[in-house]
Amino acid sequence: MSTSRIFDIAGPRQQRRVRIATTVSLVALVLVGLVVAEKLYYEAQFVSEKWLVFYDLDFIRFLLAGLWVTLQVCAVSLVTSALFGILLALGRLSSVAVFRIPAIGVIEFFRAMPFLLIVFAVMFGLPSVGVSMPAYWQLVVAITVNAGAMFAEVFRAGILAIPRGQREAGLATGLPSRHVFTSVVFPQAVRNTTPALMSQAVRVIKESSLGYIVGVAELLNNARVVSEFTGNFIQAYLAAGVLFVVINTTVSYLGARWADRLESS
Amino acid sequence: MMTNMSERSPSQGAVIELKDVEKSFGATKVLTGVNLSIAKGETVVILGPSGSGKSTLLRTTNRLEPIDSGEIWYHGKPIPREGRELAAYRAEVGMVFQQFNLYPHKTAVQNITLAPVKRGKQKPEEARARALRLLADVNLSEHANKRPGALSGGQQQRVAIARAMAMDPEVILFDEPTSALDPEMIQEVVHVMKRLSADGMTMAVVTHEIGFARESADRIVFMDEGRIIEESDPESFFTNPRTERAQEFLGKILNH
Amino acid sequence: MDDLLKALPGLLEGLGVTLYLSIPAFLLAMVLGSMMAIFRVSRVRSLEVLGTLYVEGVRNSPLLLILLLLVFGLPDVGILLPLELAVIIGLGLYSGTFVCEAVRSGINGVDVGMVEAARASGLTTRHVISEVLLPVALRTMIPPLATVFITTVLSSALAAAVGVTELTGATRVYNLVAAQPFVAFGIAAAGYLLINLLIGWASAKSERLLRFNQ
Ligand SMILES: Nc1ncnc2c1ncn2[C@@H]1O[C@H](COP(=O)(O)OP(=O)(O)OP(=O)(O)O)[C@@H](O)[C@H]1O
Ligand SMILES: [Mg+2]
Repeated sequence: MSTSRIFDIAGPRQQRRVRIATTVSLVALVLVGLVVAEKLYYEAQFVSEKWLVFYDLDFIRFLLAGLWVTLQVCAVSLVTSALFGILLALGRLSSVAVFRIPAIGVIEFFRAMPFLLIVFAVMFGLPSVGVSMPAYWQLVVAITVNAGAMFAEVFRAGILAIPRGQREAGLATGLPSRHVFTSVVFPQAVRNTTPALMSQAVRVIKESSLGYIVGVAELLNNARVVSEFTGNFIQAYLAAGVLFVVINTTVSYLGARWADRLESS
Repeated sequence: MMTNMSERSPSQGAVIELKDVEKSFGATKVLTGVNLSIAKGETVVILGPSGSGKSTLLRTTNRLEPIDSGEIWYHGKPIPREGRELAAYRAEVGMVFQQFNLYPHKTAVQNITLAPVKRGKQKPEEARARALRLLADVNLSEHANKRPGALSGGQQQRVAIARAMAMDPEVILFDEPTSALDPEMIQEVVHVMKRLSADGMTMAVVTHEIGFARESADRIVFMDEGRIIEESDPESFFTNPRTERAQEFLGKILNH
Repeated sequence: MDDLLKALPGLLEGLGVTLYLSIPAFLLAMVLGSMMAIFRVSRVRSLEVLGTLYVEGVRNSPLLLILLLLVFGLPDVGILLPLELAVIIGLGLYSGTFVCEAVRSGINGVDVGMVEAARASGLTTRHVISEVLLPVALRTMIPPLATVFITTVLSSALAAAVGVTELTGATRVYNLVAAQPFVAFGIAAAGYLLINLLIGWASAKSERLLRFNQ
């Protein structure tokens, strides 16, 4: 971070102040921790049976099975959202109004809708017009619609960021314009947008937790089952939370690494 | 002269004095054993190839960059390292940057009055009146209430000089004040600087404007690879540089 | 038309609840996020770590999980919050991470040279921050913060999953009772679109008002 150039480098007095603030805040944090721990202890949350889900292999296996479904849902949804997103992006970039205007409408509309409303529309709205499908696909469709609109904007930005000159150079070498797109523009757009796509992937992983509502046995839904089975709400959801955070930080980290590589190349 | 310089005490009458200053950025050594003293009323022009450490020298002087070793004195006292004391010291040392660095959300007048008012040096009305006079001095009266975005580069730089003047500084440091300007605007800025120098302002100026250096400099300091390798009066520096590096450097800038 | 009139009262009430949840949540997020952003640039190691843990931990968890923990977990440790308050806290915690990122990149995006000029002119750190750094940074933060606000409104729909009947919840309820998906979802969509447009408009307007030129 560039704060060192925004603020003065700490002199001895400032360093002493920072040390004092560190100590004071550490003490405060420890105190808060103790109060929380005391409360948890008092409420008998530290009894080892409460933390079953963290060490009982059956529960762990059950949560991991949920995680596996989460990853499957996400993998499928990422592919469908990417396809839908590319379609929308191409539509929006098209010079033909018949493609462009509906694409803009779809993108802007779904970006403005809460994800749960889309989920409800798929669950309760579609069946009444005769479209019904298994829960798994309801979740995938809802994610696709929502994430597709996001992906479309990412792709569009990626395509627009490619210098005109490269496109023209491609055309100048005699490639037909469709080939210029697939062999020159598109690969670069994907390369440059990967970090943004990674953060959209984190979003998709979080959205897949609405399997809880739709009734897909993914990670959060399985955590609910565990919580109801054991009566240990905090521990069950914490365990799921840990898994979500691990997966998502890994994906974010990879995205950030990719962004660094892009910047240095 | 040489014995005097290696003594670790400030010399008489110097406003700013650097002693054995060393500075590295990571593994790159940027300043090596720099000794420099600037007397009251003196205009010192610092020359040197790109990357020789000129900007760093100026920036360490008001502690925008801390130094690794050595000392910097202001009127015979070590400069403060932090806090209010450092701010008070900086208030007496003006700085003008290559990129002007005006505050984009404030008008020309507000740019000038901010520091004097916030430092409690002048009351708001007083500061405003003073700012208008300073703007008149640099021929910008009619632009007083414009934001930097509405001013040309040359105009912005003149506002920046007025801003530095508003604190009645003991010394002003200029870091390539004309390098970011279009050729036709350079002279308006150089003109202001020449006048300041003639009026007896103490100045340290990094610039490639040889005209300014010849006319206004009392002394030329030539830097190369983080060292001051030549110090002389402008006349002898430009007609008869002693070091090979200075000859090369002059050859390049005079022929282009 | 009749159906519309029948649906409106319940859904409007839902819209009210949506605002009732998301506005305080956004304010909480602003406070929390700014505080954490300050922590993260404070040079106080322990606070930096706290800020990082908060942002990385909360941002990478699904909001629904956070809401479930607050609504069903807290009573287990003897803390009984009103349902709406628990949701507001959860939303605020979640949006706070995005506020933190917006504030941080706003500060980091400020022209360093301008800040150096302020320091070099003799302003104390406090004045550098209050007179130069923040006024400039705040302007660049308006669009991302408006986006965070919109996201907060959209995220507040998840309150329906823990039993608060805001706009999305009311839509589901009405559709369940009246079996009129087009009316129900149409009105809800219009409501969310309206909020989006309003926030977007306000953001663009205030950004224009605060422009530097001229
Ligand atoms: N903040 C920094 N971090 C790392 N290296 C730096 C930093 N500032 C300057 N340097 C390096 O220090 C050396 C001297 O830089 P400085 O800017 O002082 O040179 P200069 O003489 O002013 O050059 P120019 O004429 O190009 O402005 C250069 O090699 C530069 O790359
Ligand atoms: Mg320089």
